[in-house]
Amino acid sequence: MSYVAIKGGSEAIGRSKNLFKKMLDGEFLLEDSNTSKLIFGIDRIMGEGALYSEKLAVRAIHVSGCNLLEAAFYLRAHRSTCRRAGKSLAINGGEIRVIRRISSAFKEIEGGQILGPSSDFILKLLAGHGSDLLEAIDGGDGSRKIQHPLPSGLSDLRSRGLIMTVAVKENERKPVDITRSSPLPPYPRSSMMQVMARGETGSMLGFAYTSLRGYGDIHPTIGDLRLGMAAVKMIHPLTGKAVVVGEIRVTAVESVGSFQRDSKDNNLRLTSGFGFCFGFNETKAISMSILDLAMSYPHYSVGEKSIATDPEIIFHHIDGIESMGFTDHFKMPHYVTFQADIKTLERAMEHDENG
Amino acid sequence: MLLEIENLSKVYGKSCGQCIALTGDDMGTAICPVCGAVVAVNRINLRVEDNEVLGIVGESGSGKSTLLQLIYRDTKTTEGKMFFREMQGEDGEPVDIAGLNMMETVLMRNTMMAMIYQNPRLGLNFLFSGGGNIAEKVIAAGQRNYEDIRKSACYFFEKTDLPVSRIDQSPETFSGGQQQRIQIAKALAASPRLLLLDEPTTGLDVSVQAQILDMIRVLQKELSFSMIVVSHDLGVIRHLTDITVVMRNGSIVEQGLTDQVLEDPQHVYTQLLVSSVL
Amino acid sequence: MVEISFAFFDEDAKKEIRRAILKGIALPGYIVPFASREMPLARGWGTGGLQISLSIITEADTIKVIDQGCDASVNAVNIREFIVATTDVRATSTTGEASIIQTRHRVPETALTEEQVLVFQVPTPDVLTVVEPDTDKQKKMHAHLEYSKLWVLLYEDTASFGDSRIASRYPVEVNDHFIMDPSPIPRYDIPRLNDNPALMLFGAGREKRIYAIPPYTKVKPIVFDDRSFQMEDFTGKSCMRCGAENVFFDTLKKDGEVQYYCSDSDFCDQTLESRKSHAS
Repeated sequence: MSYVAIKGGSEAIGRSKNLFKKMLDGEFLLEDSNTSKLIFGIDRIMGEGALYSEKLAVRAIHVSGCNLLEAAFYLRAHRSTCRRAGKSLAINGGEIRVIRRISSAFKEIEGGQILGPSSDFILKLLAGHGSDLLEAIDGGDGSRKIQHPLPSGLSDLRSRGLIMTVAVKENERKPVDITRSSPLPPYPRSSMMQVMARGETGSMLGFAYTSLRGYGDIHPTIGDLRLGMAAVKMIHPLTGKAVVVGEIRVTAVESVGSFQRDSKDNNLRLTSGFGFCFGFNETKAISMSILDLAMSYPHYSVGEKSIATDPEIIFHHIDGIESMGFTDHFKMPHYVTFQADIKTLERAMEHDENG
Repeated sequence: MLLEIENLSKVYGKSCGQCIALTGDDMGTAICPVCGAVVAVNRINLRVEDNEVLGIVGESGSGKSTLLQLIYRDTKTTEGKMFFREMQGEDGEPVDIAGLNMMETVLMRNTMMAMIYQNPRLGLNFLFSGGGNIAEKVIAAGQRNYEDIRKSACYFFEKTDLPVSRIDQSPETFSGGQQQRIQIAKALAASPRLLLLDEPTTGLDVSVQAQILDMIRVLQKELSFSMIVVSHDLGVIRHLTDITVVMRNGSIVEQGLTDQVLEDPQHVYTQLLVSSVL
Repeated sequence: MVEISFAFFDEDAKKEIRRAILKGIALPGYIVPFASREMPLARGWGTGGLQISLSIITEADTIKVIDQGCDASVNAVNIREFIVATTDVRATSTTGEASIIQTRHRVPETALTEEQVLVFQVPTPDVLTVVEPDTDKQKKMHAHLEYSKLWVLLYEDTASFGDSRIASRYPVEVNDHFIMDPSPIPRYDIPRLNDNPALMLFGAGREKRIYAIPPYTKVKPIVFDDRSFQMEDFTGKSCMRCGAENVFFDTLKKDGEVQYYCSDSDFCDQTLESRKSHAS
């Protein structure tokens, strides 16, 4: 009777799966399709390695034997050999040419829920029946004409003054670049965002998860999650005009937290957090938005211990290149220091016996 | 008799079994010569009457704070008994509070006995507001009417000279002296028969100290409860207490009326304490 | 290739989960740990509810799955298709026809019966998490019915905002004993848990916990004696599609206008249907 409605959901999933297959066939990659099935590996390490180059990313994955922590390290190291050609202009999130854009906060939003390619509804079965319960549905990707700029799923609430704005201190208006200076606490939000955009996906996920599980009190609702292509623009040195120098895949997320009293005017508003990274990496961008939310509005927490709200913890512990490097360095010879340890133990034992 | 302590001992560390006998003030040490365990409290006997204020003095390591923690059940008793009149068994007789389980301990702390810590972070929940801290006690005592809880919180805020306008702010935003006042307000909300105070004014400004001590004295007279005050500061003891107990190496070396003990100390150690301060 | 058994799980796994369910029913509101299995669906996407549904389902059952009240939601579709593919049971969107209803975030508008089981997907099984994240301490607090911190939270919110800030997952006292997390249903659905003829089962896959409200059990939200329980208010609103009133609504903004639609899509269909048959 009402299976029409149910069919709508089935069809959406089918199309989404179809788009996902196309994605794995190289739809969104510039490189040749031989490496297209590596898209999420490529995107992850381009973000963590802070270098957007598919070609180098593929090479890094090959030379590291697909050790993605190390592959990101290759990219990061390669950065040091590159001259800085200039600075791009800020990307407007609304201008991202979206291929997927959803909001879990509302049933319908301006510009539409665009499911796009996603593996969310693919059953994780390697064998047996049901491994592909819902067939991918072709017959077009169901694509509508998407109007750009596409407002954030939170824009309606924001225009009604219901979303709190993080206060930016006067001396923090110009973004800090952590690759050119090492900020000291209290860390400007721009530096924290940069650290997180380069952060290791797994570490960020872990820290964000503590906050969701009660060590902290963030219960985010995703106001807007979008994947798409962002045009990178620079000012032409001769004409002085903005020119597009290329396009990059990006993921952007806006999360909404609990409401709080805004110290600015004592009105009640919803808190929000932002996440953004190179490539398609939804988990990382969502985690980043949760961490931003937790650090920007730490006082909501009623749990006794909180990790995700502490900028000191997040700033120093989410970089994969750093944490992996230091953890792995324990493989190096340590026999001099260890000998010193043993000697100290012996002296203490001697003291015990005489004592 | 409100509280009667019999032969109370506390050993820290693994005991060899002889520790308590081999330590104490007559042995000149709190550390067991056989196994090295620390006997912080050694066979203490003590009584507290209704509305009586008892002071405990002694150098650090004398066992005075541990004694307070044993009574409040912050730490487990090794040996001995404590009878607290308010905590009664089915037969209506006082039970040994050393044997209380967690639920009974919570009940006792919520409705009969309260503790003021030197560090407000131990006594207050900094994630709740000042008023919320007081509300916790009122709620624990079974109150479920919001307006009544609110009134109680305001009442105890006023009682302890705290600005009611700031009742919904976190303890974090209050000064050190005010944090102690919130602790006292919270303690009073448990309508205690016995209030334990561990160095309540140590670390505070001298003028703030005096104000808080005066307030405690007034509240004690007005609401009539007994107190045990632990302090290394003889000024505090003189100001607040009726009876003074002097401790060293986990034992009581002298006790008597506060005036007597401080004016005419009998024990050599007390004489030393008094002369070094006065 | 190995054939996957009826309802995905091996029989021992189902038995083990059913034992946890039985314990939960015996102790209303008590949180029972269980060895949550890895599902082909991601943790956090309803694997707790799914494991319960798959453990209790038989060939004779009829399954309905909703998310946000809606059968057509992609999450609901995905779970329903999986259950049907592994059991071959009949699926329905009609609340009255279903013997097992798995839900996320809603209680169906249509009154349930003794013949039905409502299975909730639960993200945070322990209601105390908001005041105490340590699971060991949580367990002791439940054992001693030590809920004063929850009440202090209620006091704090009431003092600052006039009411609790908890919008969904509102704490409920079950059978005059344990305080329980009812899963993220809106406040509107809370009174509908009380004295409900259906068996209500709650599954948290990621957190590995199961709990239950047996049929006809007293369930009440925690509120101060001098305050009443506040719910989402839709007075004077009606569904744009079927005209229903006094139900939980989704809101849509169209051309600056707020429009209301039944959140329960089946209820909306039923109302529309009966309107049509009355008209003809």
